[in-house]
Amino acid sequence: MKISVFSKTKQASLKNHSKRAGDGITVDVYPLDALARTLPTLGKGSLVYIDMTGLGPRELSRRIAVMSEHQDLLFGFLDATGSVTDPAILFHRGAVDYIGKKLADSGFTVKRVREILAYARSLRKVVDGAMESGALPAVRSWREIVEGREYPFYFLFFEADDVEDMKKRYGLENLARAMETFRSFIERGVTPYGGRVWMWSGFGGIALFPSTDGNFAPLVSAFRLMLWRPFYDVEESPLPNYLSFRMALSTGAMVYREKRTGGIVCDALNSVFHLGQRSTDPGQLALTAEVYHTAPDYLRKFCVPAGIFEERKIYRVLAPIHHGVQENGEWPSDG
Amino acid sequence: MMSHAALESLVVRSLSHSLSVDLMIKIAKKIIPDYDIHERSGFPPNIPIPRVDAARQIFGDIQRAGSLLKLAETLIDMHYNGQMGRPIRVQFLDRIIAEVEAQGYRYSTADRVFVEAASREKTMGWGTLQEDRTYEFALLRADIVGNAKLVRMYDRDDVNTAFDKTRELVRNAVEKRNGRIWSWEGDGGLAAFYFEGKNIQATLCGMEIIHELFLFNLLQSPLPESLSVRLAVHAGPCKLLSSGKDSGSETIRRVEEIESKLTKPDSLMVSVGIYTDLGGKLSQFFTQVPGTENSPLYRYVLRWEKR
Repeated sequence: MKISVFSKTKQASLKNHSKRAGDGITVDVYPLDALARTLPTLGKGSLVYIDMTGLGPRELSRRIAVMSEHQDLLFGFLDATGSVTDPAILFHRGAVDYIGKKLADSGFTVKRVREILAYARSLRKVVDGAMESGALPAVRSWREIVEGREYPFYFLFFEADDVEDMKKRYGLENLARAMETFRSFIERGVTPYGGRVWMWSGFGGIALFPSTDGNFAPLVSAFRLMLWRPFYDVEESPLPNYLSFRMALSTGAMVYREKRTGGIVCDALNSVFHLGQRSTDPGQLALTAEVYHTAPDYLRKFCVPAGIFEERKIYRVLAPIHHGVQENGEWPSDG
Repeated sequence: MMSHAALESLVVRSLSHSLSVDLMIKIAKKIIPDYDIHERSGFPPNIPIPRVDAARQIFGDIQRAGSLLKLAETLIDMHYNGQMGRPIRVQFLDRIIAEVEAQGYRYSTADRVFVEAASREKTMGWGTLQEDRTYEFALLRADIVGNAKLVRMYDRDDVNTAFDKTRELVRNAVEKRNGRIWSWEGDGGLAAFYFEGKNIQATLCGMEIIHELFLFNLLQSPLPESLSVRLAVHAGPCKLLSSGKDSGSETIRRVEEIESKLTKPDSLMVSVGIYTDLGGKLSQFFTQVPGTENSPLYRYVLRWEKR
């Protein structure tokens, strides 16, 4: 059994683990910076540890994201300084072991490695069982999605605000032209993150993202759309005023249909429409608690509680403020 | 631009089939102002030059002057706009354009010039501006704040990775808006914008760099602290020198001064000449701040609603 430890420090204590392991267990220590390029070279089922010494929460989240891309590897954490207050969070994010302050000196014993492997096997059985029963189809891309089957998705609701007012101000034809540019803006914002504009009502719609565990790309996509509003207004929108729009992001299962989406009966879809239309303020991005909890800490710090929706807590993302734009979302008059 | 036998054959046929010798000379003088075909060809002034000979001579002289793109652009302009109100049909024009494009250029109808196609290596003068000549540019200066401190405090590989990514991010933002990076020295550089709407493009580019860097710091940076940049945009005349920046340029001196002395970290500052060109929507993102010599400056920063 080969164990790989990735560490920022060059302490001899880490290397000592290899001396104590014995019985066919070898321990290699790599610099943490080599994580992304070394993981693909490790054999399937290898046990990989990240030494948490000197790692801030943001860097830790990023390293976990790199690890989670390699589902054929097992990973754990070495926390010699005891910096983690709730190690269970690490297990929720896919870890199979945690070596805390008290155990750090004892190193990797054969007994412990056997226990880790047994735990990983039992975990895999649960996951495989769920996948076989169709409860948790592991889809990573649109290529794997088959029409008529049920999958977990992220649903991003988006809709222009004040549509009735805009119809009166600009006329239906001008507004329709502007809304096409809005749709294109959303489309370009979701596509790099694996999303698609799947439903379009003329003034808004639903972008759909295949859902995978721990994938927070849809949230980054929505976050980026919020940030890039000024570029849409200046470069693409034919409207003389700022276009306010709101978004809502949720997760849920749905039987996928490519066309005739209007007839779909789906609780998750209804729910995101209700969240977007009834519980999201103009110009805001609302999140369900499930989406909030998949987000890493460095994104959560941009979120605040926004009340209760369907008996569950919801959150909203803080709005970026661009100098000169009034906070009510209106453009100051040119005069 | 390299000559190409097919292009030479096409242009010579086009000139000799479409234009009189006088008109060919007028075209040559637009490109080489003191052009004298008799002196260059050896034909005495009292002997008329046959069209084909004139066309071949003019093509050769313009090619040696490195201005074949300008010749093609002039022919396109003449075909669509005529000469002194007289319509002119330039024969084989579509094939000439196709031949130039096959050499890695595309014709920009908005700017009425050939520029480097996306697949071609990008040059400081977009493949069309001439070395050592002065043009009006919008210049964007970018500088990573506190680079010496970052190098001292953090792992060298992490700092290098962060700087490389920042340079890549700046380059993408600049080239996406048809700008060119003129220089980059480890922690900062200078970019130029030349074509239609250059002041707006340079400003949007600066804003986009602030947004992209914010996301990079949040999602990707290997450093425990955020990278900051100072950005400034100013426009004016500047000589195009591929060997390096025009050290005598007042425009470059001013944009560097605005960036280094008058711009706070994580903000973009534009000079008054840029600001007045931004138009109603874009200018609303900027706040006026005191500048120097009675010339105000305008600042853009990205802030967040308080929790």
